[in-house]
Amino acid sequence: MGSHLRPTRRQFLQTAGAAVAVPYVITSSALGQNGVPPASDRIVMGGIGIGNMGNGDQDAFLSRPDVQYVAVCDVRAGVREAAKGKVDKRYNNTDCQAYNDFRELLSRPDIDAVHVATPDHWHAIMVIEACRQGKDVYCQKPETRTLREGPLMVEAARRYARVVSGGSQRVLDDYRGIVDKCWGGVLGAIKSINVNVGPLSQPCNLPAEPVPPDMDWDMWLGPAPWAPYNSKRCDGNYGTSGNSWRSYVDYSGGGMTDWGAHHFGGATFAVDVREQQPEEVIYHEHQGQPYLSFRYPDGLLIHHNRPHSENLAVEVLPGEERPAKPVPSYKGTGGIYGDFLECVKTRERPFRDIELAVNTVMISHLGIIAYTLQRSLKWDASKQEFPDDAEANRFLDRARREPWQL
Amino acid sequence: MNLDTLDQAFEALKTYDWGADGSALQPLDEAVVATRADAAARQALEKRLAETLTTGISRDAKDVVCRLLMVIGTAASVPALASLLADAELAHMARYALERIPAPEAAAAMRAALPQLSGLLRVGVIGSLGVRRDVESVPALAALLDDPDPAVACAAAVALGAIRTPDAAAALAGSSVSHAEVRRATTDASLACAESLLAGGQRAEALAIYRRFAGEDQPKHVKLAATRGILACAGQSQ
Amino acid sequence: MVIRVSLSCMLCLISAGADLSRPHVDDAADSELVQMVVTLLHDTDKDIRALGLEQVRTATKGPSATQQFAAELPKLPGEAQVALLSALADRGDAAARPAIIDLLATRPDEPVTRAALAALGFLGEPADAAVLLHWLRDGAPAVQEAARASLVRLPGDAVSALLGAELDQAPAALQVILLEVLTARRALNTLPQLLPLAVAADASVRGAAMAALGQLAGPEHIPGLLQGVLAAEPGRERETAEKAVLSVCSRIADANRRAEPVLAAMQELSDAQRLNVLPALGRVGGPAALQAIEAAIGQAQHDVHDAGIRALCNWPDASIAPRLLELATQDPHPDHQIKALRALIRVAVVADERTDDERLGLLRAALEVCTRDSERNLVLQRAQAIRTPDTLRFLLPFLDQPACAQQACQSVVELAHHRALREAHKAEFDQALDKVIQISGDATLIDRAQRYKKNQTWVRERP
Repeated sequence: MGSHLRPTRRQFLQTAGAAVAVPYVITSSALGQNGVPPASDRIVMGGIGIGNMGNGDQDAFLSRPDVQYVAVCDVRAGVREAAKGKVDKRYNNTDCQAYNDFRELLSRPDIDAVHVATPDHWHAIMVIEACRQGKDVYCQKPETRTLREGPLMVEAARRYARVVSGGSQRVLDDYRGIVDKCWGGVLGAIKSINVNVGPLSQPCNLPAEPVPPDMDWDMWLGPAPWAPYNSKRCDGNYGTSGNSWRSYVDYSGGGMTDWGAHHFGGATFAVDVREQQPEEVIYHEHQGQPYLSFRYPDGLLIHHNRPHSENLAVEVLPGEERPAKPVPSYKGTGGIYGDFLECVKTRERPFRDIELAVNTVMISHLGIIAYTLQRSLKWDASKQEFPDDAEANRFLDRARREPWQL
Repeated sequence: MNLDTLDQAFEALKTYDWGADGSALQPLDEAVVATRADAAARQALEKRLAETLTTGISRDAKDVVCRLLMVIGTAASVPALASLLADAELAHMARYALERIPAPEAAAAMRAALPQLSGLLRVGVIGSLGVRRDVESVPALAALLDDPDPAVACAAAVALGAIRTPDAAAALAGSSVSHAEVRRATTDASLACAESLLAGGQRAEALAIYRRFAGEDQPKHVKLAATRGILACAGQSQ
Repeated sequence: MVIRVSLSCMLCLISAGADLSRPHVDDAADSELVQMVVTLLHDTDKDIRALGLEQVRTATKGPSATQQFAAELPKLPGEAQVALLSALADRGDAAARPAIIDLLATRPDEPVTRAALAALGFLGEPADAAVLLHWLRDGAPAVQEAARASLVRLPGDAVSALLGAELDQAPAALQVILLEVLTARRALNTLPQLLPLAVAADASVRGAAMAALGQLAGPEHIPGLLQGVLAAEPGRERETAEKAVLSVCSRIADANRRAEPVLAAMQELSDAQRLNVLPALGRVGGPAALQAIEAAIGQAQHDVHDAGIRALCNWPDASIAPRLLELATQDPHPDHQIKALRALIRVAVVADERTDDERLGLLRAALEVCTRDSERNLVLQRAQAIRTPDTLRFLLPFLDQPACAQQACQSVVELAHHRALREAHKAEFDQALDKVIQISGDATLIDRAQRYKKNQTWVRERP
């Protein structure tokens, strides 16, 4: 990232970050008691983006006895103060520091790990910067906004030997029925699986509204194209059909990535192609309705919105056996959060390792490009590009607004 | 492609602004798809779009045009786009198109703009040249590593780390920055270059970089990265 | 401090060893890298150790390096042993196996035992099944679980054969675990040992055997499964056993012929036994089954007629809906009328080729013949499976009927749970959810309604 020295809106930092002057020391109140690990043995954590999902993630980490939660960051003063209040109440002190600028939080040497739950257009920048600062990261899904971001996130995690987990708890929790059948060999060899998800995100041209006084709008936009503030543009509700950032193309891939991260994650897990990437996206039309098939190197197909097909419906190859295999699961206790924390301790790769998460979200991105161009695409996973396809390669990434870089 | 509707869309562009009905511009999107197999029509569409950038249409309208040129732009659009690189409001959207237009003229225009720009605008162009992995920019970027503006120096380092050629690695190795933030950026960029050198079979060069970052003066995670790199160098000799 | 020492060692190794900048003879390079990794494995800092473990997992291929890594096992403290065992398992080279067996022989601490048994699942030989079986019998619960997982993973028909042979002599609790392991292994060669357990004296063994047979058996094993149905206690165990029969028959590609093995096997049964397996036949469905079941329904003899009704009420699809509607109104026995009506309500919403309108239409028809609130509430409960705005409109009037309002609230909220439906008809849903908030007596339901109105999510608690 280019301008580490250029925090935006210093005036907000003046209110948020008296924190900067406070020594980063775990206080005596954080010493272990009653079987709780002493602070020195706990994982020191902070959270970036404490809205809807971030709030839930914060609750999950804050409730853990093996975590010492010390910092929150949000570009909305009210949100970050509420998040700080929650932490302070939990520890019965006022030690939690609140930041407007994530770079200040990430520069704290005492923080071991962070969770990131900002809008999607920020994920890659924050995850990579966290790795460069030596932090482990739990990042909400969808982990990427463009195809180029994924490999760079994986590269940063590997380079600095960081534990980086993606954030879809549903991949293991929600699709266990079909996963068990597939991995248990009950269905035999699998020909295809279908995913029903959508819609794609849309351009946003909402009119300008006054920026709320407690919001750093420029920082909310970050690498996305400048646009005037509108409460619906940045609303964090879970809708994907308008009036929420999840609906708009500069910040999200819409339901295709937001729920795609879950459904494609479950599908790739069920048919055991989590570690692979498709080599072709086949564009079909059925009675005027487009749908896609992602073809994997061994011929397996993941369909998207195939007509008359249920979500996660599996087609098998008659007469072909598939050997049973034990289903991978979380390490530690406490679901996906516990899995991440256990891996922070053991330095193993988490269940939703960033590489697997990236492989999932890229399916959504490939699909969006195929729908946009209304044609089939080849994909070269080793080069991370559409071979001999200059038109499609334009969609690998999008220029970030200055000063943000990857 | 219905030319009347397209004309209406271009007409609507003249008054388009935040809050306007986006459907009025829908024919522009449709024209992009419709002209895929018609080079002449595509060329005409591009020309017409690029011309709007020199008119007084709103920032929002130019935002829309730049997004379309990102998809269909060629060397023909570069001058109009490059003319926006010094405009604080429009520079990003100009890069939005220029960064993705495959024509070498797009990179050349951004290289040419570098000396004329400063501050954020310069940082933005440096970033775009990095994303394009523009090897011809390496000398210019190398010279910016000790720019007095640390944001520019950081951006140059990140860009060189994205380009990650031997020349980029050499430029980073030759820099002697003292500013902590810039040093962190050059470290990361150097490690990226080392990975690329090793992947290209230049083990000795990669090892030299890793050894440089294995010292006591480095943060723990950088030393981990260096150690990991040293192991990778040893492993590649198998 | 720790990292400084380690890196110093690493750099010493590099400078003392061959020049990495030029190509190497493989052995020398291997040796040097292996020594580096070994150094890292002994580091007390887990971050450093992890770098070595990453190499164990992915690099320095070959059995010689594997043996050198595995040879470090006895020299490491427990935590590092666990980590190295996990890495060796991921490396997947069986050359590490002897060192793991040796380690297990030293009766290490539980975490190490667990990790060693887990590693055996990846690296072991069929002969190691006996070791795993030993720990499955006699280990602490966590160790038993590791042994169980490795018995699922360890390849080879000989492993399945050993477990199958153990079935005969194992106590009931272990039999159940072995049956689950054999099922997970898809150990088709042990079916002869599994079939007798379908009629075991212990209900838990019978249940596990039927579950295994449901997964593994073929049509030729249906006679044995029907014996399991007959041995099962009426109620939940019997229903589960019947579903195992269905599971086997469902694997027959031609849907119209799925009942054939059951009908053939029934020929060998006594009259009384045939009546008892008739409900299982109903679950399978198909024209031949329907003929047999209708014949039973047509009998005046009450127990035969009753068995026929129960069989028809198990029918897997909505094809017999008109017949169920007829029985719901015209069967001479009131309890059979109720059974048929409840079955009609069940099949009405089964997902199939019918349109949502047709499914909702069938529910409306069922509602017409309901005489009790319990069935009316069942209609409202099943309606939530049809995710359309018409279903919402169908439910709305019941919010004003006290005897049905709470179920209607539940179904409205379940419909609203589906964001795409809710967002597309937001005004209607908001109005209905307001009503739910007003009249529901269920705090969770009210909370959900409020969340959905605000477009927030709600996560269902898992059992």
